[in-house]
Amino acid sequence: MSPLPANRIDPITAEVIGSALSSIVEEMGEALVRASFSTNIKERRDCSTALFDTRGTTLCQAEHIPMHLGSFIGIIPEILKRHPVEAMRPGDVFIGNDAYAGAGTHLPDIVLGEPIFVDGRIVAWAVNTAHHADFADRGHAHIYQEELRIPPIRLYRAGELQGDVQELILLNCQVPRERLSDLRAQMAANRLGVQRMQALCAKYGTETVLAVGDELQDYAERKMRAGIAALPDGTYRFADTYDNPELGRALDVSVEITIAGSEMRLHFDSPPQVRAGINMIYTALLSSVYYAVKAVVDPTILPNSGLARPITVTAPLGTIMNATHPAAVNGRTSTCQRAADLAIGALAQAAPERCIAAGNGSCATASFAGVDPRDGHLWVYLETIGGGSGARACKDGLNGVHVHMTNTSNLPVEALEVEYPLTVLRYEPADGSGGAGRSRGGMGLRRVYRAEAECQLRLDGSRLLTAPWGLAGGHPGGRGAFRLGDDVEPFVNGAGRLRAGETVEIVTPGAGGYGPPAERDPVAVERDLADGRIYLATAAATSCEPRR
Amino acid sequence: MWFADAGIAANAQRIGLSVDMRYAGQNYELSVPLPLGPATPTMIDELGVSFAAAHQRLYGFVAEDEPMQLVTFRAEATGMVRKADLRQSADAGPDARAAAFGRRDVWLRETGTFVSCPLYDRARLRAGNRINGPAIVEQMDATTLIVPGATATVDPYLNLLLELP
Repeated sequence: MSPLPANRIDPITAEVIGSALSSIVEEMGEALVRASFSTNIKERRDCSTALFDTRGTTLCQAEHIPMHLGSFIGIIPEILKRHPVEAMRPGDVFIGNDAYAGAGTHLPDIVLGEPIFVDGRIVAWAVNTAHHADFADRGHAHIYQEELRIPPIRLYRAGELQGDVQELILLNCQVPRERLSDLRAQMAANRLGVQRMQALCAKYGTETVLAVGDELQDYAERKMRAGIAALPDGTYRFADTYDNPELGRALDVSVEITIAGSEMRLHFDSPPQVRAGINMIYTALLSSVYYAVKAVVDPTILPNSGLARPITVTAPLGTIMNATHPAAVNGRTSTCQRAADLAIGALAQAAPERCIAAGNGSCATASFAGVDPRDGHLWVYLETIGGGSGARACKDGLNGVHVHMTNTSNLPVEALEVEYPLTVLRYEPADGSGGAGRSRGGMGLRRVYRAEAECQLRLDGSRLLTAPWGLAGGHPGGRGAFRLGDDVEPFVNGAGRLRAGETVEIVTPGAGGYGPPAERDPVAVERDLADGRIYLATAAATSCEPRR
Repeated sequence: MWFADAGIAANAQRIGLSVDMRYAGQNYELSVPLPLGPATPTMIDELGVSFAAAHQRLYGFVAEDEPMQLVTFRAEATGMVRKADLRQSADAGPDARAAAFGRRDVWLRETGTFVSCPLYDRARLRAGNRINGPAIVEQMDATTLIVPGATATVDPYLNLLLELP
């Protein structure tokens, strides 16, 4: 074995410290969930944690929610732009949420960043974001309607809470008690990150830890380059449509991917940004692309900034997929899902066996807000519902799961009904929604709610007008649907009112199948039929008649 | 009861009480020691102080205005017993054939082909036995693959030490 260059860290030390960084961000995430009060964090885990170096590039992100990388990419550079490093003190904590001030991809994702001091200097940053399920029943024509915009400013100064700042934020929230508790939980997460990172530096030496941080980013870059180089050079195009209840129509979207040697360029085309909350800012597009490319090229690549170096992402400024101020962005997740599906659809031409068919392609969202008759307080409940995941070359897709950019748990029905004046009447896989194929697409879900008190409801999602596509001869999966109960007044742009006793039914999209249905194992067809996952007509479409 | 069943002498019995507490609204609890004796207002107050201290230690904050909940009461019975006496086995020499019980074709990444591997019963291996890979050692709860070029040695405590080339 040739000796290592003198300035390089030996691989075992790099691996040990790299694993310690992963462990720190995971532990930060657990602290956040455990200390929180809101259902969206404590049950649904809609939060992420990360460590950044002093340049603002990712050292390590916990494997929670890929979308949240978009909340992190811009935050440290934006803090450094606004605040001189010399004036920062241990215990300073910066808060921010604004899409156009580096702090997030939509306003409910509030970011807290805390510098980590070792021997009097900043060596890294602990950062986390939590989706504060608040700010419901608002407008989405532009970002000023959506919520209070917070640029990166100090919430704590040298460990002391800036009460004025907190008061201003809390007055703009519908459920301030929950917000306060979740902000404290976010503080707990960063505090742990700071302590653990300081201990790591004390154990291995700050210079070694920082050198490993650089080395791990170089390693991620090398792995990404090697993975891209193994794909055939060429230009791959994929087009699809994107629909949304807020728009009520489908928009044309497309991608062109060029693979040349160890580099990949992706260019996204979409219509001009709209007066609706479906626009994506550039960091949201970046996180969608990094997720999709990593998933296809090599899922084992470390989740740090190095993986982005060989990838170039472009989209015309002022379009839905690269929106500019003051475009509204609240419902950007479904649009990001489409960006990820576009990238995977195009890469399927280069590496079909590594790609999956289209998943539910949305983030089916029900956002409830009302006055709780039990105590007169405002309540807000945000629910995002899983759907089908795309069929794989050798395996069926998963039923009723979050896919791609989003990864929250479901709130158990029992917990939901205890917390909110809602009753869940049905919760089940949607029959026949998994696209047929050699591997079957995953199934969507049906969830039916009854309001026990009057409330406002906003419905968001996609794949209502077009179906998730199959791959390599696989059939499309089922579409989603929002169905209002008989007496409910019609919704406008996906939003409206439920009175006590009224119901709404949400069906989330399934997912596309993979390979010709005629090649499906007859035993699997029989099992699907017996379980009610497919209809007889779907079974008949396969060459293998089920045995009777 | 358990003490009697397990034959724990009176002077070796320990009982610890604790209660899992949280702020109303949280989903996860912190365990706080519970003093023996009847529940009195003083004791409840002391639990509140203990919980706040534990919460401060772990999360760095106390939510003064939030009500606390006592979720799960636990009693833990411990019997103080002698430490296990680990005995060394006598060296039985390198020959492991007494533990062999057959062969199996196994696809090995190292050779890229199926290779006929001898099978050994872990329970019948003796201290000092040596096995050269490729070979498989089976036991009730695990399977050990000894890859080609590696050597397994059974140590005096019957651990299997694998040395890779």
